[in-house]
Amino acid sequence: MSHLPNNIVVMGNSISAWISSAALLASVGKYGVKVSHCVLDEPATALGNMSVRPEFMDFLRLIGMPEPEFMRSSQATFKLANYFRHWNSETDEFYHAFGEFGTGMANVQFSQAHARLQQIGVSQAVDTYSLGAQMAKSAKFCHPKPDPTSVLSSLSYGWNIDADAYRDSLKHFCISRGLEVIEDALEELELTTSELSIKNVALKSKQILTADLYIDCTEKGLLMQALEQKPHSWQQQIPSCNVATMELPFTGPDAPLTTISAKQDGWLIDITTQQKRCRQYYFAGATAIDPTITQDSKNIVIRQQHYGCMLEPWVANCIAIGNAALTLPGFCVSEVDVSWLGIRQLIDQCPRFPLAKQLIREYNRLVQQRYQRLKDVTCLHLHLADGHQGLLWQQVGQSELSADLVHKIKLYQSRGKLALFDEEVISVNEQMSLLMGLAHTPKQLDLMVQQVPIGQLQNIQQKIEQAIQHAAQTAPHHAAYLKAFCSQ
Amino acid sequence: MQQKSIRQIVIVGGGTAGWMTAAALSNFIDPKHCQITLVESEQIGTVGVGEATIPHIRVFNQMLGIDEKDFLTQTQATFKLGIKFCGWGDQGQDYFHPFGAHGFEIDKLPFHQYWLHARNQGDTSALDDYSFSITAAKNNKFCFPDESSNSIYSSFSYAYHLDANLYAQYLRTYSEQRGVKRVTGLIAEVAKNATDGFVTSVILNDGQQIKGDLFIDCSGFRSLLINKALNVSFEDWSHWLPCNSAIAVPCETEGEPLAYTQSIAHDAGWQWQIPLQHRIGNGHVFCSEFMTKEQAQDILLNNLPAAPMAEPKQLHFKTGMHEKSWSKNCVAIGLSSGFLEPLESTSIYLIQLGIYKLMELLPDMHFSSVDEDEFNRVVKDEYLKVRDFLILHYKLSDPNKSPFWRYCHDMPIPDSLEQRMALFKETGYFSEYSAGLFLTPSWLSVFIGQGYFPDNIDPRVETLNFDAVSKQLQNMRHYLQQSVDAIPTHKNALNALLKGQAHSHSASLNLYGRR
Ligand SMILES: Cc1cc2nc3c(=O)[nH]c(=O)nc-3n(C[C@H](O)[C@H](O)[C@H](O)COP(=O)(O)OP(=O)(O)OC[C@H]3O[C@@H](n4cnc5c(N)ncnc54)[C@H](O)[C@@H]3O)c2cc1C
Repeated sequence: MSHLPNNIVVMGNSISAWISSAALLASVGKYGVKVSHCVLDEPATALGNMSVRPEFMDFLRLIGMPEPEFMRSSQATFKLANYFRHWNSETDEFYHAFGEFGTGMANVQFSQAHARLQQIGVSQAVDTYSLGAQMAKSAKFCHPKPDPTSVLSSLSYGWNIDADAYRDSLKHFCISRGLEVIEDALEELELTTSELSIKNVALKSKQILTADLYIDCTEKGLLMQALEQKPHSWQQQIPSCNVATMELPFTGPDAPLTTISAKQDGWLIDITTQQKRCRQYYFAGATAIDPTITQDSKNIVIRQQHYGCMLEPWVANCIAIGNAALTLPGFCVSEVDVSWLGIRQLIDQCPRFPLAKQLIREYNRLVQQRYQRLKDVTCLHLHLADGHQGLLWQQVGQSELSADLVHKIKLYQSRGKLALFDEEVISVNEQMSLLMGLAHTPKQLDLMVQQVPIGQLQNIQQKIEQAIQHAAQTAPHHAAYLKAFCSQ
Repeated sequence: MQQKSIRQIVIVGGGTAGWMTAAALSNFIDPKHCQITLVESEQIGTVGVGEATIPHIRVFNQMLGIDEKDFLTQTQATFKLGIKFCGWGDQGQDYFHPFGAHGFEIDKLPFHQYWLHARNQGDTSALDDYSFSITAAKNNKFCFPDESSNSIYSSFSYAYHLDANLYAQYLRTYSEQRGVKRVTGLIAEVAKNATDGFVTSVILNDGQQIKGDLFIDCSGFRSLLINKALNVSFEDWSHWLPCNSAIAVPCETEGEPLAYTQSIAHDAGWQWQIPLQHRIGNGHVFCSEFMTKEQAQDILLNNLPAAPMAEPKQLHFKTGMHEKSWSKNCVAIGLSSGFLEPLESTSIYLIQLGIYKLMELLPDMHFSSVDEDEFNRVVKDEYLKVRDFLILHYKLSDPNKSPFWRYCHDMPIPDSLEQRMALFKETGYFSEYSAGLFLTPSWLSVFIGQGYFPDNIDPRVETLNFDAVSKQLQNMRHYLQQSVDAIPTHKNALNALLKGQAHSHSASLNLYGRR
């Protein structure tokens, strides 16, 4: 009979490490598994601001942290959309929201109606028909309503958080819930000889840690390295680059969004939290940074970034979570999201002892597929950019796309439809609106939409637009709403 | 590129697939834009035995705007809550595969883990005792599912048993009213364009030529276009699904109609019993390598619940599917695309899937290959998942029953199924498909029903106090039984609908209700 592991040690000081500890404590911890956390002496890298997807709400529910408390402790602002600037020659600006957009009519999908009206030049950009996008644009926010007849039910939101603040607060949260935290440095990892697994972890203080399961949340995937696991490189699909992180002068929590701007030599991701404005600049190693990008900024740190994932994030008694398992540029997921994706699957399956071979195989299969889907959506963002000449963009232009992504793009270009594969992480709505916002109008439209008189289609679109404009205008300002919500 | 719409669609075949396709297309295509012609041969006839369905058919009917009362009256249909597998279970026991979930989640952990835990501790309640659909089916009760996801009455769904010939006729009237042109005659030849190999017309044996832009192959097992004309090869799965013959015969009704299909295991296959309002459909599906036609017929006739109403009809088939269901300007829907055998009544559902995808990807005159790729990808993916689920029933059978079942028990199975089985065996854990018809409640029914128990369960559940778990299970059973006691009999529910005194809510594409 298998049983719960007696103890699990989470290793690392990354935000993934604290998310993992909190999640394990609240799930298997409550059934008697001892969860410990070994910080190691890794420097706690400054993380800056990060975007967090809507699914993170499930994590908050799991650990029993009310949303206002989470937002206070992470200095979070709300996030409704990514705001793309100068992304391609056709789209100067586009608000890509999490929530739904438009509404279909009998037999006619909204996307088809929109494409038809666009073909004859009488439709607005797709973000006109998304409440999330319009509220993001006008710096408004309110929570979605569950009532499906309300336009507010179309909203979905995430957060922009100060990841350093949240990491510290999660650490305190875990300690307050009884987590044993060991702050030490790594001396040596002892492996079992019979099969490659971790026998114990010797620390500088001479303490020896022995656990049934180890969670590798170290920055460099130290445990995975010891187990001879190397990340699979996506260099062919997403070129390695430099990432400069910096803090910009704070001007107040503005709109509930993340700004992604294409530049000649790369792209910028700007995220504002309650008291901090941070920027990440992605550019090719060989190019110099345009001084306008760093103007008035402080704490500039430049690191080289390679993208890839562990093909087997769970090896023997060790599971890589977060950056140790997957790295991607932050268009659609951040380290927080990736960590939750990995640890959530582990909790769902429930780790057990003796190690269950099939369970490990299934974990790797599912998580690996999801990583591939995330990589494809990331590549899709890059693929939809054009008109930029710099070295990084040239490398992007030469990169390969997976067969699934090629099919997805072709199907959209040809028919305006979305090909969905198993284990997609990014919702249909998000993928579809991304394509509608940034790709060319599809070549061919459904017969059904061609049969509907243009006037009727226009009428419906106008109604949607009006309902959305009204809801966006009457919604509270983000800053005021945020203040009131966080003081609850 | 200027878009040039197709102007003529030709459907080859007037069986269930042909008329379902014609009805769906004619429902949203204006005949002014595009003419739909259906060709069928009275000489060849139809298979006409597809009589048990799954809940998705209700979504199809609702899409067509069909009134449920009218439909039940015209097709002599009854309600179906699931399938009872007689003699398939562990040591020849019976079990149900319901259109509904078992039990309720406790503390966010799946119900079946609690049930397994209790069973390991000596609890003797059956998994079936926790299913609303099964309890209702066993008591021959029925009600329409509720829309509120908090209600116990939303924990199930339902389908129909219908007369396939009447259904085809019903849809024929529907389609003809919407402009579908019906042509009868035997297709003798299929003409193709010499350069691109596209089908240009079908030629009847009286010389009549029917031209089209898009051809839908609904010609049944003959696969007249997809295989004979376009040479798309057939992927044979008969080593996994070895039944290849059937004998069908209707018989008189006996007592009140049951609200479930029966599948009764025999020595080299199984027998179906499908209760309609005016008769019971029966058939014996078997593998001719292990049983002669005469033996099969004897078994069927000796096991009829009432007197036969017609001469037995024999059918042959090969399980598998064509490598592509869409090739060039031809889309195969129904038996011409593939057949997985009728054990779980999935064929009409697969027809429906083909129709939905075709409607979504209806091509224009450029016939982009990406439409074809997408259609084939989605259809194949679903066939593979359904195939695995069907194979599971055979694989888990008792090898000692007969040489046929020994073969099924010992046969190698696809890796995808092997892995699902191994995962469940080791842990009791299910990985849900992100898209697929049969999800946890179905797999669980068959695993447990056929005596395939996991070696381990979720260790979280094992830490719980057994008495407390046992009490919760007891309460659940009690609540279910009370809820079933409060609903009408199947016959009364059917009559109420037929008299216009009751009606159902909107259907969903979910086998298990909304809960
Ligand atoms: C034993 C058995 C039991 C089944 N039970 C179920 C069940 O319970 N549930 C379920 O969902 N499905 C079931 N099925 C499957 C179901 O019967 C079929 O999916 C359904 O009937 C659709 O068949 P079809 O229309 O594709 O083919 P058919 O019914 O065979 O129709 C073919 C059509 O093509 C026409 N045709 C063929 N050749 C020519 C030609 N040369 N010229 C002109 N016309 C031509 C024929 O006249 C006919 O109209 C069962 C199948 C079998 C074999």
